Amino acid sequence: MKAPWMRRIAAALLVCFACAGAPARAVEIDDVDWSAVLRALGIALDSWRLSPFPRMTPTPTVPPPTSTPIPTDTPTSTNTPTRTLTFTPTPIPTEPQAGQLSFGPAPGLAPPQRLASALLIFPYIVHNSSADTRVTLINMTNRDIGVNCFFVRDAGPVLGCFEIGFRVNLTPLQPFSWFAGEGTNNPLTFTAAPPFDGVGELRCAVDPEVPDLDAHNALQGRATVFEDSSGDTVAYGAVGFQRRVPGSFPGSIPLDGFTYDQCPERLHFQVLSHQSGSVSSLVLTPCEQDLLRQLSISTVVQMQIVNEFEQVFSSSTRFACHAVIPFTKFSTLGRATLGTDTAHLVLRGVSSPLVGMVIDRFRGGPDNSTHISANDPYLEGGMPSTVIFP
Amino acid sequence: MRSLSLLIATALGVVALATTAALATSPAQRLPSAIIMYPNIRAEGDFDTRVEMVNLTSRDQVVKCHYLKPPLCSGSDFIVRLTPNQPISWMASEGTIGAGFRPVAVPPFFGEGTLKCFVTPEDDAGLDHQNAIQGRAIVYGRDGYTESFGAIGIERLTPGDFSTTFELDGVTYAQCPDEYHFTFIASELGNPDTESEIILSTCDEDLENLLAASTVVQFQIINEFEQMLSASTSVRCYDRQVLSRINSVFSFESLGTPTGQVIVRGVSGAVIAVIVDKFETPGGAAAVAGNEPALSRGRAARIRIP
Repeated sequence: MKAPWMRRIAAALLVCFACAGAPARAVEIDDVDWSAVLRALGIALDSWRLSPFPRMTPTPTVPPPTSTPIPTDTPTSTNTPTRTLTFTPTPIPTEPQAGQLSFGPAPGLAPPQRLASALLIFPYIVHNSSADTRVTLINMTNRDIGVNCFFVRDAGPVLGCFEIGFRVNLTPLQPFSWFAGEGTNNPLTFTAAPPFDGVGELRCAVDPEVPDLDAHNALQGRATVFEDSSGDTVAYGAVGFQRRVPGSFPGSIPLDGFTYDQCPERLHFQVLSHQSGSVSSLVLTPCEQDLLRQLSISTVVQMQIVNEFEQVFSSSTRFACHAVIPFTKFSTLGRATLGTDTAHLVLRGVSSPLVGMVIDRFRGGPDNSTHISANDPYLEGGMPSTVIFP
Repeated sequence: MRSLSLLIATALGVVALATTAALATSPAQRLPSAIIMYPNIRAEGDFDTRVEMVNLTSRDQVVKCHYLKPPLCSGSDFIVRLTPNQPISWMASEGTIGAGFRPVAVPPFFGEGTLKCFVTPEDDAGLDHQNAIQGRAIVYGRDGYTESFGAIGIERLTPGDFSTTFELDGVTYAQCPDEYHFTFIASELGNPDTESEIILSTCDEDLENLLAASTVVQFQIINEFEQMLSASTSVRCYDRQVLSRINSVFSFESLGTPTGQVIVRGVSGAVIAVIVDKFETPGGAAAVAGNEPALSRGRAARIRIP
């Protein structure tokens, strides 16, 4: 039912159209370019946003669903932390150091290392025909803890990141070690880990039985990569991230500086410049990881290199998932270019913050033998990231 | 009046508890620091050490360093001037003269000991002037023998003038670590290639009066079956000891599992500890690697330099 006033307006419009249409019949129809008239009328009405004609602009459509993970276990506001809970002598964030190379100031706080942690990243795990890795985890608390772990390696551009997951339970203060190439299954300790092949990384997150903070920050680890025949060894401690507030294990781990420590924004290394017969390597993995969808994270790595004369060089590279890059790829890390035995190497991931290490190789000693050692980075700044466990 | 007193007492109690919590925190590592302690420098026989230090700020830094040798913790000292972001390295047995645009002279060092370096900022310098450096030492010898250790870093926590007495109290500077958690590989009795070593030094130093600190060091050992064992030794200034000679619990025959966790703690004062892992690969090759610990809790210490 239309209102009476609407019926009156409709009748008036019909009369007007009838009157306006009468003189038009007196004009020769062949002389009128009706398409031009309609186009002009459309433009005029369009300028009033009342066009009866379809617009040329595409109709907005509902955006297709993206692969962005929906954090189902997003921490709620009940986890709102108070800084008083974590009263520690953590250094007061210092002023940005203006003029730090060409990178500008580093925001955020780097994750403190070598402390009992809630998430560990081992950036370099190897098992092949000539080398293996002894992986060691230790429970640093007097509680039982569950630990979710994933081996990850690059499986190429099609398959992305290949992963193998497992879970171990550690009793109070228990150490747990195994060879990556063999795995372990110990019925006495009720712990098992699958074997792993290739070169990749290992991530382990604490899944505590209670939401207390000290139940999360319970784990540390170490990996010893060795050549079976020569005994060349690279041993290093895992990169640790502490939980900052109590709560349950979220599955999707927000490394945001609030729930967990942030990822380091920059990695600083003091490296040996490469010479013939002694080529060091750079091991890199993105801090961000989606183990649920096995997405291969790709990022550009910007590098600044400062020699002992404070001369600054730069370089860059790109990698996805996990990479071991020899220094020969970067001429700026060569002794011939640098002019000094050591250099200060600063790395920054563009799309994702990085975790990594350098494997030093050099010749020396009384017999000029080849030496190898792990070179862990110093960390600067923080950048938010997410690690999603299935 | 009584209620006011009660309120003040309660507030003081809260502050005291908070302070206690702060005192129990171990120093965060791998960050720019004001004090760095290299746990092992070795330049004797077939061994030499490459000492590395890097300025992680965009400011000039002056760093005062002390080589320390047992038994008196005496040694030589020197000053390193670092330009912004400058790395510097030298062989311990050779020292160095000149690197970069600032004059640097490092004396040669012979023997075995530690190196401690302190950032000496200008007056009224902010924290970012003082938390500035990091370092590493690579000991190497014959047949590819290599031990590499990052320096233990101690951060300045509150701004203030430089003093020759460093209070590692959790307020002015971070504390020394109280407990060191190592995973270790059990040795095989009678096989010298598997005799892992522990390097111990004291965190407290009085270099002005050359008073070498000493302490008993307690070990708590946990095998993979969660069985607990213990051992102890003592250290004055600096020492390197074979684990299985300290106690047989570090051997596979006593431990019963191939690896274990050992918690190291100084009794009279805080210590600095690292382990040199020695083991045989399944293929029978001898392997060596530096073993850096995870840290737990903190303990006050004082370092006094001339």
